[in-house]
Amino acid sequence: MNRPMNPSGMGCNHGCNHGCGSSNSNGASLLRKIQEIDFSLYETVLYLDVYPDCREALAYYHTLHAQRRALVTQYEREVGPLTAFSNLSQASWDWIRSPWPWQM
Amino acid sequence: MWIYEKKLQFPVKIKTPNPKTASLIVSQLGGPDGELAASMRYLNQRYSMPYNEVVGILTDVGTEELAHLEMVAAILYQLTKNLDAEEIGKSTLAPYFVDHTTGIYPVAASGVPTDMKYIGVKGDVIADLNEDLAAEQKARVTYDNLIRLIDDPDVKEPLKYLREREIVHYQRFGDALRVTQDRLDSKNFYAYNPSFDKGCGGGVFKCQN
Repeated sequence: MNRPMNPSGMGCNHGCNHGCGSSNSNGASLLRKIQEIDFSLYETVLYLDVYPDCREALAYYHTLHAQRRALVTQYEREVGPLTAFSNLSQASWDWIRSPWPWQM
Repeated sequence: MWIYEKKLQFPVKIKTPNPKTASLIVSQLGGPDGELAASMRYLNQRYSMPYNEVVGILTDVGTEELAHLEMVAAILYQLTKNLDAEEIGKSTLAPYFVDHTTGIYPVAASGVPTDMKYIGVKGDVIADLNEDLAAEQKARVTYDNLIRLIDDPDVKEPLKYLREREIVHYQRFGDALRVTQDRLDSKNFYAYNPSFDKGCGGGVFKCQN
């Protein structure tokens, strides 16, 4: 397979050889936790949009937000990037290598 | 899932409103080669794509098109801000104004509301990528035409940026097509549809081995 280099000069033909993907069960349970936190966070965001002065909701938002940040950091370190702007590996474009959400 | 970022991809700061210009640019919101159709085309095509590179580029270009939709909407908003009814009535924006005031509604410049008939999802990687290559060129031509008709540099600069993005997307879709063809039978790319058929013998034409 002799794929020509693309115009930006990055010839990329190496495969992934360090177990990328989120097939490990820890990854699945981490993702599940993130989904649960995101559900609560989204509910809180919608509520705050229409009740922006509710201090109780704002405090709850911050609790969830801190939990989310910790979980996302762990997930992206152990499994792979959640967004195209958070590919942590210097050696591999993991963004397209872990399974797409409809393939899990 | 998606999370919104409160910023434009490229700044839009128009000092002089212009209803006629707005009536032309609205096509890139809801026209046949507009940003809404572009985003829906790519984001819906990606599910049946057999290769991760292609899913990746469709996801990321489809997402970028949503950012472009917002830029076009910002241009329309600023072009129609603080206009009075008399100015609008004398302009080509008058028919749009009757139905939508100065709200942002996705229609073509011809006045036809947006339609998913503008996009194609064939469930075949070669067919879909070729549709996408054509779509990017058609969008580029639409921006060419707008840039020809518009003088205001405040409007032209974001349009020139959007035009450049169409060209970059075309290049990357071309790369995706090449990556795809590298993985297919070089004697006959069309022997089977990797999105649907299950390997050799599953195609429209039975293969030799």
